[in-house]
Amino acid sequence: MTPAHMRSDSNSRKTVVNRRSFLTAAGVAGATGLAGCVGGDGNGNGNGNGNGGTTGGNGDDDEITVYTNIPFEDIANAYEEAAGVSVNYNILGGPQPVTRYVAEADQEQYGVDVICNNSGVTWQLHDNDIPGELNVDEDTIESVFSLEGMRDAWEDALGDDVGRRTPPAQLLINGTHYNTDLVSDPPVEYTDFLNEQFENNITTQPYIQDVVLQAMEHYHGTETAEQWLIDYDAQGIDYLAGGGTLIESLLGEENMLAPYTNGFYASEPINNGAPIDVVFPRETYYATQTLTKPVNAPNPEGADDFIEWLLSREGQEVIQTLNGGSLPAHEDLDYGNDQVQQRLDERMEAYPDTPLYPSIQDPDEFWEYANRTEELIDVEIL
Amino acid sequence: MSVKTKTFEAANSYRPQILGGLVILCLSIVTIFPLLATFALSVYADGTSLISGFSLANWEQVLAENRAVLGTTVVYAFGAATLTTTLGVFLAWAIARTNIPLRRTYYYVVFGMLFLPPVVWEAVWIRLLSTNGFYQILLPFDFHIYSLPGMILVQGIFMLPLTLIVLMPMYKNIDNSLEEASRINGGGVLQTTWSVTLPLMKPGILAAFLLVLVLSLGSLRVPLLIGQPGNIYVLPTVIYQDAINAPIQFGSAFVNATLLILFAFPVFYLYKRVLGQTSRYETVGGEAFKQTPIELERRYRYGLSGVIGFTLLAIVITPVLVMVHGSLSPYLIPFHRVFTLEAPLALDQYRALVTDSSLHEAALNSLIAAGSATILTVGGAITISWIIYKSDLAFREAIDYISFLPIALTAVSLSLGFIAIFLGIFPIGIYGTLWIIILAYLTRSLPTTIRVVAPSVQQLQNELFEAGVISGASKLTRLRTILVPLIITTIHAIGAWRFAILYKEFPISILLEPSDFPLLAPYIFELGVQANFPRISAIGVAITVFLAIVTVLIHRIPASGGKL
Repeated sequence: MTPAHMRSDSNSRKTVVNRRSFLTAAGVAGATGLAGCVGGDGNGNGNGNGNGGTTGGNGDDDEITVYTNIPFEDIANAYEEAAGVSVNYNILGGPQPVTRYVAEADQEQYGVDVICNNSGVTWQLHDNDIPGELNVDEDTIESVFSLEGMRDAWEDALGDDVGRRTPPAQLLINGTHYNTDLVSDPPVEYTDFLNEQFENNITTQPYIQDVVLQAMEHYHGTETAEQWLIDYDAQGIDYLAGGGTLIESLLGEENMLAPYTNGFYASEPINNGAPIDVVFPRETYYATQTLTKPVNAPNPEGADDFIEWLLSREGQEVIQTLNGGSLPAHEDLDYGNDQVQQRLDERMEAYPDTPLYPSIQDPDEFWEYANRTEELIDVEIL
Repeated sequence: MSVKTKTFEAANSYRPQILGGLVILCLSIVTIFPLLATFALSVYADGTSLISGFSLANWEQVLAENRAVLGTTVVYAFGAATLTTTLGVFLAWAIARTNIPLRRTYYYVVFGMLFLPPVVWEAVWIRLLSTNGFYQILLPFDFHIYSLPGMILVQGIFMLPLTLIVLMPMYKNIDNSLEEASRINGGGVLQTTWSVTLPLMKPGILAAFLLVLVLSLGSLRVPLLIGQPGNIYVLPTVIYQDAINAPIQFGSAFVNATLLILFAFPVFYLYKRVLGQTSRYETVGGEAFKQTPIELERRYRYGLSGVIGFTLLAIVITPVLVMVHGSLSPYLIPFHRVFTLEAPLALDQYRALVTDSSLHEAALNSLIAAGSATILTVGGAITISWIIYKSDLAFREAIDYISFLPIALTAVSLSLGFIAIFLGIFPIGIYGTLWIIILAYLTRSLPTTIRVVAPSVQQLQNELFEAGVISGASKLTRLRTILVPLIITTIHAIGAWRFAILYKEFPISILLEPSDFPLLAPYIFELGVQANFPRISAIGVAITVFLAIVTVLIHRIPASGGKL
């Protein structure tokens, strides 16, 4: 099976209607008439953009192509308005922005200028020297490593140039969501999950447990972390895959708590008045949504310009509004959802000496923790 | 006689072989090539590389690790096929063979299920059977939706319209003088049905069972949306995960795709054989053929109608109501709060649909892709049926088998085969474009479309076309003025059915979706992953209404010219 949490959660799928894609479609549809035989002549993609590839990439200065797994319509529209450059983007589920790029690059088909994917998946690109170095202002790069310890942790694991090759555009903080109709006293430390009231009332993604072990080990040491994981599993966890599935489980009152869930999935229901709230316990970890310019991007200058803009305050303010509110990586910007930001502030005030843990998910560490987790609890991580 | 003329005559004398060979070549590119590529790459692909050195390591690894998946796949497919066939046989018999009230309404209710989009259907059943779901409350036992029985239930019910479409014509074509003879000899309705009707229908029932079996073997929706959250994997989900997850494992993906084809192939072969038997049984009545319904007594008539009405209420109408209610809700609401919740129902989600340009683009793209593929599929099915039953081309039996082959390929394996061919082996520029989607849709749709179109073409009398030749009409004119009007009803039916299926097609769309041409089913899938139940419910309602309107419009397309 596949490395588990590297699959990460899929996010929303939004794409901009652009004239080119419509004309491509209309042109191809109009030309179709081969009645069951293979169509196309090698140029059948109809892009007319001169890259010769088939992946929707381009070589035009006024267009870039992005593979992503987060909502991108607002970002593309804002950039087009700001820079006059059209952003063709394909929102793919989970790790597909990286895996699809890798599969196509293996066949020497290069059509992607920017990959926007979770750090847990993106780190694998470093092993293959795929991220190109960005030609982006140093101050801009500095401004997006906003939480304490994050940059040091990244650089220790992936090298000094990690910020210039895969800078974060968004922070993904996994909080504990709960149904406010069912829980009046939410957990503030991980040991609180072991309370009797939560027995058989917790739902968790199975393949996130290795990162949990990693974070718990960071906070409490190996022995405590391993014992805690065993005790936690003994609570009768309802292991379900998919962050959205967990939030649905809370809304349907099938479970009370959904620890380690990205707030991304709950922002919109919260805004709509759903009985969902989030708490960030003492032992909270986070990952990032990174931006990568592949070394063989067909429009490298366009990629640099776009990434620089998205990391700037203007671009980060768009990130802030995504999906009912999300957390940009810019040091001066808060969570785009007031309620969630308030919970984050409460956690920081309660534990001022315990910074959030920036989980490193590079492949080597992943395998080590995944194997250990599978040995400790009977949960399939891999 | 000149050399040129001699050459022309020689070529003309081999025309049936040449044209037949060309047809086989065209069909092979989208059927046999993906099959062979899948087999070959199972021993040549390694990790991300589609073509590496020869190795059996992929097979050794998969066979060592995935045995449980193979077993689960078989149980899932057999379970779904058994459930669907059982339900379908009962419903088709009651609707087609008896005089129960509302039978036409019941047929339309089941047929309407074809319009329900992917993801929404699964999400609705998850709501109904989750811990606090309406059905869970009614059931005297715990039923976990994220389980193998849950997968079988949802897949089995979803395949019901297809089973009915296969079985209804067969039931209707039974000569009921045989049933009358049984009744005259003292047999009751049940005894007659058991001893006369069902044996006559046996090949048809088997065909429906095998068709659902082979389609369920390759289905991805239910395994992905209901199986995967519960950590239950079948071959299509493993193939999907191997092909998209990090790190990509093309080797094991192609091994699993090969295994899926090997499972499906015997089913395909049996299905093809059984289809031959069904056509024999259809003509059993000869000239004394009678098609009148079984006259049930009043109490049985209404009793049976009530049972069917209740069944459809449970498996179709209630899920649709849940979808409609969900589309009006501000967020997902558990059943026991539906009537006490203070938050009012509203049209917010529908308003959001109006301004969602991503949805509009995906819907338009799917319209273009499905519309093009539908036209090509129906045209291709008529052409191939014509070639098989009415032309003098050589290799007609081979053409018949090859055009049916995609059924055995299954949608997931076919998509993987297309990736292998058009990304790795023959990168002719269609990977990542609309072309590959249309081609895959076409390939996938041809077999079942031919199955519906062929009998209509087969029964046309050659004299009609000979008259056209005598009157000097060109081939195109004969096609337009003789063939199309004669089979226009079939074209309407198959066109509407095919478009409804392709517009919301899932496995091919999600695996082959072009970068700059987003499609509807993957869009809904991503919304589903986000747990946006109100939004996908609203989209579900909109698509259902849209497809119903399109179906009506297609049925109003005149045979040639004229107004709608």
